[in-house]
Amino acid sequence: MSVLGSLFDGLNRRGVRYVVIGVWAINLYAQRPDQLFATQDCDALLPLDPVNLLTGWEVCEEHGLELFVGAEPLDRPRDRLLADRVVSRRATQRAASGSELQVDFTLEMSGFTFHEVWSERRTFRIEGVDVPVARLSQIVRSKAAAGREKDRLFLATHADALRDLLRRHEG
Amino acid sequence: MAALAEAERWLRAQGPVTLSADYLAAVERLESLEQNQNGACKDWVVRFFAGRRDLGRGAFRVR
Repeated sequence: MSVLGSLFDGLNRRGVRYVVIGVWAINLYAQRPDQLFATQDCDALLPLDPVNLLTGWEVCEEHGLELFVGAEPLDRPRDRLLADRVVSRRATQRAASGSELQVDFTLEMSGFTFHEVWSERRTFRIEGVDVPVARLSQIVRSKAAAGREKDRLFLATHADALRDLLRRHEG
Repeated sequence: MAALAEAERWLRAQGPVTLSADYLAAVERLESLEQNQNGACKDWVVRFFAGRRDLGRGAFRVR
């Protein structure tokens, strides 16, 4: 099992709530390799719940992943106080295993609450593990709401890829 | 760099992003495919990116 699959499995076993979002999630809806988009990391949306976050950190550490906020290692001790601070600041944390794996724990998704994304999630199987994934429609709407340059470029490219994909699929 | 800055300025000047009805309908059609329902196996995506990483790992400078 890959490091990522093992991480998902660990998160599930500890009852951590998360939903995979972003380009990594978009790729899971693709039908062929030529429809995949390059991405450096996997984004996971977590609820504004310090206890859930703390458990997520524990799972990452158990899997040998290092935790960062920005360029700095996540503070120690990694306790409830720290989790409260991270939640209040909506800070994104990165769990990394060298250059092989980077998972961003994010607490915000433009245009949506965690509850909205969680309640509409799809569950895909990856290496025998059930992985909660955001609805594609919510991900693209979120990118539109965020309105960053990279999101605009991505949406334009995705629209072209989608037209091609559906043209081939529907003959 | 100047061209990049100009491109970014142009993009910002476009205003809020709107998603067309056609695009959203296409997204929903993709979501409705059998391969994208609960329980669908997506190992091929992980394998594809793992393969790309492995390919890069084997690269070395010739000169």
